Amino acid sequence: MCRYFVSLCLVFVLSVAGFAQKEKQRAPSDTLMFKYLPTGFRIGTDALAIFLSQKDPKLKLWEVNADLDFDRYYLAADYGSWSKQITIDNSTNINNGDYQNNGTYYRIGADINFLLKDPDKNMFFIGFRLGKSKFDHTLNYSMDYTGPYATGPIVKTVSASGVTASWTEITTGLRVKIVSGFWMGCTARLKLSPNYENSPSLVPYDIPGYGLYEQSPYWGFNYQLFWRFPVRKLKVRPKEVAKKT
Amino acid sequence: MRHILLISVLLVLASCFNKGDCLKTNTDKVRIAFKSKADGKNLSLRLNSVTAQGFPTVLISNQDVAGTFELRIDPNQAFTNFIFDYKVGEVSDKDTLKLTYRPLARVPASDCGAFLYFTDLNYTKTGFDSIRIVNAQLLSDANILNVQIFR
Repeated sequence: MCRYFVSLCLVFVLSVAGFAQKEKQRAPSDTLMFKYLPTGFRIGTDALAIFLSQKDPKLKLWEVNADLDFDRYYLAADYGSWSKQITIDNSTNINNGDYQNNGTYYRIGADINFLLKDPDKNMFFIGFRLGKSKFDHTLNYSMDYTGPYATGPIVKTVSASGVTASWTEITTGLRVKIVSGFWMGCTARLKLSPNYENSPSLVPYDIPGYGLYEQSPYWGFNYQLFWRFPVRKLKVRPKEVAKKT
Repeated sequence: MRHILLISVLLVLASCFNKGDCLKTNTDKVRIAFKSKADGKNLSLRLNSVTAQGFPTVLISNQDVAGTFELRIDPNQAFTNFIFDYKVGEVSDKDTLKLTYRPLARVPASDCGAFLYFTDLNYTKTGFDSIRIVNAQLLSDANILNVQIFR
C-alpha cells in the first residue's frame, strides 16, 4: 500500500516539477504593482472528509479551508469538526471496549507557491501549519484481572472534557484552476510533535485534526474544492507599461 | 526544484515507518528495594508478611529478601496502603507505606486493546526512616526499580 502511495507521489511531484519549469520559462517579467497586496481569497472544503463521513456512520468530519495570497506567499487557515467512534479489540479478538471523541480544530500557517507568476493562481506549494484542537473523549473498556484486589474483569469508563492538543505540520500540494472561480487541489500533511493537556487519566487515541496520537510523524491527506473571490485586479506598473509601449 | 523533489520523496518515505505496534510495557507491580541507611547497600531481611490495608489477601508471606521484590498495587484506586511485618537480624518491626499513583488508560492501536499504565508514583505516609522514589512510572522492565526504602 505504502509502495503505491510512494509511486503515486513521485509521479505527482515529477509532473508538477516539469510543469513548474515550463511556467517559469513562459512567465513574463515582473509586471505586478503592489506585489504583496492580496488579490483575492479562496474558500474551500475537504471533499475527502465529506466522503468519509458518508461512508462510515461512526465518523463525522467536515473541514473548511481558506487562503489569501501575498504574491508567491499564501496565508492559509483551516477549521474543522471531528466526531469519531472506534471499537477496540485486543489481540485475542475479544471486544474490550470503545473509544469516542468529538471536537473542533484549526490550523494556521503559510505556503510558498513554486508556480511563479501563474496568471491562474495555480499552485504547487510547500508550507507549514500550526494545529490546535479542543475535544472531549471517553474510553469504555473491560480488562481481565486476576489479583489480590478484585476478582473478574475490571470494567471502567474514563473520560475527559476540554482536552486541548497542538501539533505542527509540513504541507505540500497542488491547487489547479478548473473553471473561472473554481479550483481543485490536494494537500499532503506530515504531522509532527503532537501533545495534549487536560486529560490526566486517558491518553488520546485520536486527536481531531491530527489523527492517531501514538503515531508521530503521521500523514494526512485532503482533497479540496476551492472557490476564489477576487478583491482587486492586478495592475501593471507604470514603468513596465512605458517599456512595453 | 530538485531540492523540492528530494524533500517530497523523503517526506513520503517517512510515512512508511509510522505503523504502531502492540508493545505492552505496563505493569501493576511496584519494584521495591530495602537499603541500609548507613551505607546505601541492599539490606537483607525477612518479610513475615506484606498486606494491603482493606484487603484480606497476604501479598508476601515469609520471604527472605536480599535485593528487590515486587508488590502489586490496587488498579481500581489511586493509592495502596501497604503494611509490612518484617525482621532485620533479630529485630522484628512493623511499618506502613502508602503509595499514590495516577492510573492512565492508553489505546496504542484499535486492535491492541486498552492498557492501564500507572504513573506519578509517590508516597504520602510511611513509618520507615526514609523513602526515595527512583522511577515514578510502573513498567514491565524488570531492571527498573521504583522505590528505595532506607532503614
